[in-house]
Amino acid sequence: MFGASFGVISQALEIYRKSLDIYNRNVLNANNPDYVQEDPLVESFAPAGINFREVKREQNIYYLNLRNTKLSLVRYLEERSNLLANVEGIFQELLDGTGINDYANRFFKAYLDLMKDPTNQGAKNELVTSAKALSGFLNEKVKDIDRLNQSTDYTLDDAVSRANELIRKLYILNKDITVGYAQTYARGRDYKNLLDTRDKYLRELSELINVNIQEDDIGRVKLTTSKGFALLDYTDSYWQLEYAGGRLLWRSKSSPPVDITDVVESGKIKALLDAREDLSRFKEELNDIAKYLISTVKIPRENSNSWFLIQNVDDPTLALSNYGLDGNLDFYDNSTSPPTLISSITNYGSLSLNDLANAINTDPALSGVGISATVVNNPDGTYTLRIDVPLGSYSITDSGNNFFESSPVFVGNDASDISPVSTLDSDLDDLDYALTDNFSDFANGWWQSTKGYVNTLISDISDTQADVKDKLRIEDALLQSLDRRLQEMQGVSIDREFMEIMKVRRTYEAVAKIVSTIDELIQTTLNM
Amino acid sequence: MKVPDNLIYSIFQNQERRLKEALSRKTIEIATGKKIQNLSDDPVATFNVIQLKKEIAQLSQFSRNRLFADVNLSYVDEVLGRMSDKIKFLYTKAVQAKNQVHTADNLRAIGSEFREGLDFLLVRANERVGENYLFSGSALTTKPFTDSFAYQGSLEEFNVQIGEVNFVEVFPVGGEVFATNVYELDTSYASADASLSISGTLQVSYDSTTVSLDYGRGIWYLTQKVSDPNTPLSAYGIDGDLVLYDSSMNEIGRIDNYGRYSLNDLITQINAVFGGENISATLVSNSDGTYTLRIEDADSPANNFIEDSSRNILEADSLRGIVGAFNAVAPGDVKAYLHQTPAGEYTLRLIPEDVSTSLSITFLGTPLGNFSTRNVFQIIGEVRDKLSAGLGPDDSDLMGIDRSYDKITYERSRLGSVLSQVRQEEPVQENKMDLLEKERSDVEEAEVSESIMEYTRYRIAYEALMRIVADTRDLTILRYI
Repeated sequence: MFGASFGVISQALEIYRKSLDIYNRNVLNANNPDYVQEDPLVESFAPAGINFREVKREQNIYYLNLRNTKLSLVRYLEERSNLLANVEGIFQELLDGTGINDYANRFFKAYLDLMKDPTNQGAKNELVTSAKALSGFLNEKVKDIDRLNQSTDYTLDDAVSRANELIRKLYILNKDITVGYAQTYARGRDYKNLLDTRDKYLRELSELINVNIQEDDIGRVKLTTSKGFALLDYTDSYWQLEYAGGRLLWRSKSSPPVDITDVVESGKIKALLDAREDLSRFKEELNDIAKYLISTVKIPRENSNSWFLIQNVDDPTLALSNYGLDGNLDFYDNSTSPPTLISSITNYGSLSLNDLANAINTDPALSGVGISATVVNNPDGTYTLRIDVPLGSYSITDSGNNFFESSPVFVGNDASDISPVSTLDSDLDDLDYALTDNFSDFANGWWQSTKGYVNTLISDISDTQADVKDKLRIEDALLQSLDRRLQEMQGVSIDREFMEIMKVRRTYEAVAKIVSTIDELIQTTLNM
Repeated sequence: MKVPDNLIYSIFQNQERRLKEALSRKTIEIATGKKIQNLSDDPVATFNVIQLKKEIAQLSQFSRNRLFADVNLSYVDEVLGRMSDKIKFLYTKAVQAKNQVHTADNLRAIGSEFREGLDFLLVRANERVGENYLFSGSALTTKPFTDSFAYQGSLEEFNVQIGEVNFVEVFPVGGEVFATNVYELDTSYASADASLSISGTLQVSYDSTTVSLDYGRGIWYLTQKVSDPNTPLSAYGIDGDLVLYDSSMNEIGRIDNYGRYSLNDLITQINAVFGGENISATLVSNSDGTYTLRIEDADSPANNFIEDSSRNILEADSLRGIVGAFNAVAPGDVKAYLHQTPAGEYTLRLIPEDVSTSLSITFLGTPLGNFSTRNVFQIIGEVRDKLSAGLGPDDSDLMGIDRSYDKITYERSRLGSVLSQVRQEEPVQENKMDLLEKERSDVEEAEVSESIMEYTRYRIAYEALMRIVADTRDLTILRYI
């Protein structure tokens, strides 16, 4: 009888020691955010003593899923906001003298200064310097955006590799859980420390890409991302992602890769993908500024021998009168005194830009002396007309005041290569002083439009970032709320654990006391 | 409810992060004095800042332009003032030369003063500020007047923008500033009384008035005008004997003491006495309400001569006759002058009373020649040349110099009003600049005292949080075991 009692007591002591181990483990992991509190489930096995049924894990997978989804969204917003903060750093519009607006203002002030005092060498130098500064600034900003883009590409590559690594690790962990479950099935199924590692991986993966988690009875998981693209199927298989050519691809085992760039919804990877779009959009908006400057800004010239239609038009096939342009063009031979009228084109408003060019080029009186017209396709997508006359001998008057002998200030295709024309210095020595008031007036229009383009860019950056930051503030608060709820469910309270430890210790001491009491009983019996 | 240790930490961590962020934001706010640090802090404010920066830059440029206009126009005003003073001095000299008896040497001495005066005027007209000539219009670097007084600058003034839609003339067209409305005939005659041997009609139009004057053999005009054609001419100091001759200069008719007749009666008398020789007299009603007399020999060619012993009635066949006749038929706002050239010959000048009146002069029949205007330098130069040649100035010279003075004064006044407009812009622009700067300051700049208060508040909150953390961690069962 006593022998059986020893067996029961010995088992109880072992179970309580194991319980103490579990509580100690809880205490040790009290500050581990991925750790889930465990409780030893001890059941009465009368008359054969007590039995260690299992290690109970205080987890609700629904809340974990919910938290991870929110975490994915918050990381998406955080990462995107960080990248946008870098863009904000590039465009320091709020510091005096460092913003694109300051450079544009400096250039246009210099332009108006020169139109006011066109013989002033200082004003000429300032225009050249400010034109160089403005174009140099635009070149630099494009490079900055390109650098950010490259860095984003690199980070994306890294993030996708990390996501693949986590998916692979979870696949292996699923297998480990299967083994752990089998090995500990008869000993309380104490394999659940593997589930803490699983939760850690799931959290890390959620930070990279949004995933839906399905858990089976023993804790293995199946993962899919948006629209059901599978990433992990328990222990059967897993899929990898690939970042190539600016796109995120889901690599199927049996079919070609599928582009899921627009499918993923959150996580760092989505943030980086969206940031690439943001950067591309900002670059285009920056290019718009440069293209507009290249297409529009001109100076009045006395001997450029090129007459430009100052107002650009969107459609070269539409009658010019649709743009409010009309007048008569008179072409003069200046070699006689007074100059001889060699040809006229009246009411050119009834012609389109292409037709007007054609009318000039097919007029024998004009083509015979080498006067030609070219429809210029501007970088900003608009069109203008340039009429070239042979050096020195011919001139054009326009009763509509739309065509002026002039030359552009900037050359290039976009913000990456915009620069002042190489001859700007000498061009400024050939200003037509009689037209400076007209061009001063035009400059106000250019200045206003340029400011509009700058505003579009800056508003886009500030609105996008403000929107992301606003959402981040809200979603972060929700995440914290979910985190708290999750912590309340699965977190460890050291005080509670110590209470439990004290209880188990006392019980253990009591059980141990039975051994000595039985021993005394046996001794007494033996001494009888 | 269970409160896990990790939860307490994370709550404190979040609170600490938020307070640190707030503290950091306020620290930067106080250090920089700006309440928006990043574009995204306040997109609306960012938009406003960009807008205001552009407007401030534009307005400051317009202010610079205004200052440029002010400086240059002030200098133009000063130059014109000095020129008008010099012309006034020359006018005094010309009056002396005309009204006093001078020897040729005296006149030449006055001529040398004119030479110096003219040089002074030309130098002033060719003045420049920096690289820009004051009176070349938009041909800023072209010297406006040659030594022979020809204008070679631009015909367009140089304008400067001092507001979005406000342009002001800064460098005027010298060809206009120094142009006068003194019209001079390019044909000259050795004698003022010599027959021109041509006939036609001179038509002078200005504003809504047209003056027509027939000239040639056989046309006589009373060279004075009367306000009442029924009042005896003697009441106007007009009297004399009118004698009619045939082609051989034999007297064939006479009207003595015509001052006793009124204009209408004289016409009746002439038609009665001279009518047999195909001579007719008509009353000329002028547009200013006055009257004069026109006599015509209807024979072709005219074969009679009329002589007035008092030379009140003259044949419009000589420069003197045409001048007299023109002044009799024209309202007082345009006058004809007999003008002696430096070569001693005679020609005709037409000068409106008003400095800004332009004349359109045309001819019917054989023209007397071409009329063209003279600029200030040409007018004074001609006087200089006459004096140097020992010739005294005539009325047209005095009128020309006077007109030059009037013109420069007129231009000075015109440009002065532009300058006044420029100066009126100053308070407007300064006020607008103040408003824009204030608006920008409101949008952009932090209220430092308020920021410091908030900074202090966040610091106290942070310290309190740290205290709570310490106290909370102290509440543990470990202390009771």
